[in-house]
Amino acid sequence: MRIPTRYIIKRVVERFLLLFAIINFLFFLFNVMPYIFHYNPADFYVPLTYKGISRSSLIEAIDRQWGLNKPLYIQYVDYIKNMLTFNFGYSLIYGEPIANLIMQALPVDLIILVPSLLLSTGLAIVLGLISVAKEGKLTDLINSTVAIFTYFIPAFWIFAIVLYYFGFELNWFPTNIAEAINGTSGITYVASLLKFASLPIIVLTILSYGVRMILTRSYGVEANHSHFILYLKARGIPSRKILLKHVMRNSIIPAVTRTGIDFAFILAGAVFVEEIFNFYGMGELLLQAAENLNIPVLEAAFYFINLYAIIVLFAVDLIYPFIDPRVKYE
Amino acid sequence: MNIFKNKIIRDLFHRKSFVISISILVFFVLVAIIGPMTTPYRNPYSSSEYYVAGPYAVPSWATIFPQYKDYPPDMSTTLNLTSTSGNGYVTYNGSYYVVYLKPHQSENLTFTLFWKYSYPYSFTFSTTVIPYTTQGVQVNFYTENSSGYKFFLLSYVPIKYQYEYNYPTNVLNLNKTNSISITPSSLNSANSPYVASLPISQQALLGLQFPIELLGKSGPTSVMISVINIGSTSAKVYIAPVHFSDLGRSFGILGTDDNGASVYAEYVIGARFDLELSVIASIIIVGIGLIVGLVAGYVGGKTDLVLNSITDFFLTIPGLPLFITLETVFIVTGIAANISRAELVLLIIGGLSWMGTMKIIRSVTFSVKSRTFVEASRALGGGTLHVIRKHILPNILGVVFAQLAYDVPVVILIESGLDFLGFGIPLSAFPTWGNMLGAATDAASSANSFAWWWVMPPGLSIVLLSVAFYYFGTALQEVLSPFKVRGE
Repeated sequence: MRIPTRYIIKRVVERFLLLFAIINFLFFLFNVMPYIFHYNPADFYVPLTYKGISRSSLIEAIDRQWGLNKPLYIQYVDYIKNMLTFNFGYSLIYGEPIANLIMQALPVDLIILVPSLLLSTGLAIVLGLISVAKEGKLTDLINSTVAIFTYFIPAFWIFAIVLYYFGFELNWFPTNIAEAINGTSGITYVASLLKFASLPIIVLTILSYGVRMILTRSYGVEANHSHFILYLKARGIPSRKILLKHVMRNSIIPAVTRTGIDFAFILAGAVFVEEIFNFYGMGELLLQAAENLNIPVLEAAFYFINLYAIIVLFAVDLIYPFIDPRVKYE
Repeated sequence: MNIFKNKIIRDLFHRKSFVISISILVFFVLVAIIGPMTTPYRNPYSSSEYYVAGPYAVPSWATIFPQYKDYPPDMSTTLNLTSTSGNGYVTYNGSYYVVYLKPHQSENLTFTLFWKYSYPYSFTFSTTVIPYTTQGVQVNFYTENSSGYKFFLLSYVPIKYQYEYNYPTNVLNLNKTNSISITPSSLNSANSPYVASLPISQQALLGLQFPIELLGKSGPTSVMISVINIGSTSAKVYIAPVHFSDLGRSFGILGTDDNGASVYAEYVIGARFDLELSVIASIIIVGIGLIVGLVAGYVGGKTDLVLNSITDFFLTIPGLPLFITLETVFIVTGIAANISRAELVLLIIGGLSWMGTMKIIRSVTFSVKSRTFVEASRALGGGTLHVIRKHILPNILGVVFAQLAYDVPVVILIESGLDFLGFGIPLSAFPTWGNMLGAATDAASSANSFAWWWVMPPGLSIVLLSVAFYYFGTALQEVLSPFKVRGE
């Protein structure tokens, strides 16, 4: 299938207008608001001392570096330039370039979120198809109800409970990352990291498969009642084959799309997992930055997350017609 | 008129899921309305309502389980005089025991507590002593545990006799009322002969250790008050019956938290707040979503493009970090100075969670709008408002009500999450379910103890309430929609 150029251009323009809007929103929030309300944002994210330099001269230096004392339109131009060139600056609180901070936080979330996303999609499709096959029976009822219940379980609550029970009480899993990977290298490092990550991955999988399972089930049930399935049944094709070949192709589309969308927002991190398992990732970075109004970190992190999200969403747009042949590029 | 004759109501009540969900919802509404009236505590997070029992007291009903079988409840009882010994003379005048002592005579009064539990968190023996004499009496307090081990806890003598003793004594005021209470946390090496005899390392732990030593096993435990006339004139000493009270390790319906505050009170106050906030926020969300979605879906074209882009814009920015950032910005700029934290949280959640609802309303509006009866109405000259009021709204009403119900759990989950992370209602303010869970988790990691009576009720309630709202919304949508409208 050829992708029309017009479609690609239209989509690219749309998505990047969105990104531009977000950048402007961030500028308004972090640069214009302080101007309107007369406070210096540097006051919040400059530490009391840094390498023996007094705070007031630090603030002055920051003002000069970011041009915070210049008129707004110059700040705006500088800001856009910095964002487009990925020049996020240096965080005095963390003592590291902000780009490094983000790069260090990323793997933590990827280790947990990517496996759980894949596992939960698989689980959702399998359980959804079981429900379709047993539609209206007790199995279906229990299956769907459990899916809905898991969807509404507060993540922070269940994480705290499983960490306490499996980690502290039964000692099956290490309870913090330092304990898990201390003194390991090579294969054992990977193994112990996996062992540590497996508990949050499993729980996150259980918490997030619900929506996709219900989607798979409802589309599967609809497909199951359509005329072409009836025709296949009439031809005497075994119902197992109908389910796995024809119903499945129609019913997994929404779940897969949903996974694509979730994948776009993966960089926002899993705040509750990080908070409870003391696993320092993007969620915690954003949380701390938001709490202290650490504006350089916030700007960089929001921009980075949204840039990634928009690229992935664009990719989903392009891939979608391949998954669902009925959809045309328009 | 019987409301069950109404077709919609009858339809609804024919659904098992609706009946179950509405019963759960009614239960929680009753908890939120009646619950706070059934507890004497107004705000268990204020320090004046701490220590209504010992910290981590289990629910009273949990004492049916073997591991909590011996946990004592809060008690308050006046002990009986079980024996007297000595050469004085004792009578009872209805409120006091009156001990008559000639010079150098002494009398012991033993009050016994028939203790049938394991140790309490803390206890207090209290009494009142009024010595009538011109020279001096000494009043000593001993306690004896069920194994027969005796503790010389306190000694009271008039001030001019104090130097005569080589153990710590307290001042006894002659011819006046002396209120005396014995509680482990107030005993120290400067006022108690027993504590002074302990090594210093054990003195510090006395507040926690002494309840175990004295009341650790069931059996008769006694307080002996020994009155000695140390002067050369006769004395008449009034002694009130000893009163015993304790902070137990089992309390109320849901036990206590790490501060010894009532978890039941926290739970019902939290239930009221969570329900109020989530229902109001849900109305805000559906209000915004309905207006934006209806306009976008009905007008279409450029308007739709703009509104839809705005919606996409808010959908793309990660939610939780944005909530917290905005909260901080609003507080820093002073925009939020005139409203309470709860209102701020409500506005931020309401103002930033309407996007999903908007998308659904927009898509159902689209599908209703393209139906022939709408076209017919427009062809007959129906104005925009007329068409929306008469044709669009009635047909999407099911979806709107369903969204109202669906958004409540969303708000509860977001709000509890904010509370849990410490960005919602501050822990110092008042209990919410999220605050309870946050505090319980913090306490669990520090105290290495898992207070299930504290952690489970709010979490399970969030799940149950959310699921009930979900099924409630689904039933409404199915019954109120005249034909199948397909949302997301």
